[in-house]
Amino acid sequence: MTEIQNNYLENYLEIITAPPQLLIEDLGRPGYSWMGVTPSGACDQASFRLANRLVGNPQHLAALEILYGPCQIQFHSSAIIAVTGAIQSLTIADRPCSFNYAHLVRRGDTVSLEVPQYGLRSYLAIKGGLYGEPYLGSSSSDTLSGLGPAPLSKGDRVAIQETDLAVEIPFELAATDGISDHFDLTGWWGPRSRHFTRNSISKLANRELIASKDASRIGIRLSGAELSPEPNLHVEPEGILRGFLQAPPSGELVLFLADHPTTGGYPIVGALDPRSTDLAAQIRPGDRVTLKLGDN
Amino acid sequence: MKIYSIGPNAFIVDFDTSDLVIASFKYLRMGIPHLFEEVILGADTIVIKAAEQVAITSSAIAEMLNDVGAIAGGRDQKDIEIPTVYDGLDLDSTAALAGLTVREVIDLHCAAPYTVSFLGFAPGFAYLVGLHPSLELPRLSSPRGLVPKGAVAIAESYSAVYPNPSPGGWRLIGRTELNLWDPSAPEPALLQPGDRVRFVERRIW
Repeated sequence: MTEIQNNYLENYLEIITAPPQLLIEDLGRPGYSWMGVTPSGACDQASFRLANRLVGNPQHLAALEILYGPCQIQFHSSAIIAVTGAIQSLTIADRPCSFNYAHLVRRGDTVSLEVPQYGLRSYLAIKGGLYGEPYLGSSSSDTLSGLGPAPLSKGDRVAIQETDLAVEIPFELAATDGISDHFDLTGWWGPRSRHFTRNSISKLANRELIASKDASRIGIRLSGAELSPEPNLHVEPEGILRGFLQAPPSGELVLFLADHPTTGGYPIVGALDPRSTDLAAQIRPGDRVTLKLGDN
Repeated sequence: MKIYSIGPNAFIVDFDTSDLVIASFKYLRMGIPHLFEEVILGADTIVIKAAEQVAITSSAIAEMLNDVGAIAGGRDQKDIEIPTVYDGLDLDSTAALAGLTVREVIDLHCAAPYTVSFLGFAPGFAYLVGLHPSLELPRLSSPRGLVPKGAVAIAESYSAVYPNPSPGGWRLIGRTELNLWDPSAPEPALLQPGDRVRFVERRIW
């Protein structure tokens, strides 16, 4: 249960059916990595920002991150909402509604999202933003350290910040494209890649990696990379950023998402560009991934 | 010192000696804070992420860090004592593995002056260097699901205190009631890079 158990909330939504993971997220708490605090925040920041822009919010206001589905949310006040991210069907009071678009929800309406056809994470933004108890200046749930608002479950109520509902709906906003069951991710090789054999590095571009079941907001394990390190390669702990690719001795690659640890003891061999980092938040276990990394 | 870029806005700085790592970190983080979103200290590296809208190159960072040697003089490290009761779950097995008595383990752990090398793993978790070589032991083969707040631990060449309950694979030798993490404080982490630390044995709280 969350801190927001205020009995006389005026504007709030209530979770009727919770998906496997339902979190309050914003753009995170950057700048504290050096003291061991993960930046956290929305995993697919492009879709998150789009949802906020669609309802006329500043891009950083707290919204819901919905993992997979199904998810049903009842609104106890009228609201303007938009849903972005993974591709799934959306209904408001049983009427089919389009994704990546702003909609009016009336008091008492239930918003339902089905299990997505492709992708993993959707964002539901509400005009005015959600209220989540801030920690170090952010209302994002950090699943690694447990900082920020607790994960939401059935029956939880979340306050909606009061706002004027008059909204000019923007148009021609680009949604995250490239969500399917095969992801082409682009980025750059990193300094530690020179500690791996040339042969294994050059083969990677033509390999189809598989996202393993070991996937969370912390990161995704990609199997099939078969990178071969120099014998006796030892790396002291060093800093990690979202989108970094790490090569543990198992030969798999670990791709770090929003709740990554701030330091790690395996070599960092590359990094994704910002667009691919956002897209990676939509990779499901079993999806195929091709890495196209350039030299710096 | 070598600086490598990973893409247009991230850099890894490798230091040949550990002397200037912490001074460089403090300079990048506090001297010119608006340029960088993240400056992350490692054991002998700094990872840098430029702030949005900032275009910066490896050579510009190299130039900034050239001056650090000259200004590294008057530093602001604290001396911190950590009162510790040595009754950790792994104290006996640690002594056995090191071929020492429990008394010797405690004395060696208390005798060493430590320095905060960097923070990572969890909020406020400081990696302390200076552990006596005879206490350098591998991590537990299987990590514990829950290590209590305040646990004093060692692993490989480091010692540390768990600031909050968390999973962990380090060898638990004692515990402290000193609070290492206060998110409402201007500096939430008690132990800052470069600080000098000593463990002081307490019989009981």
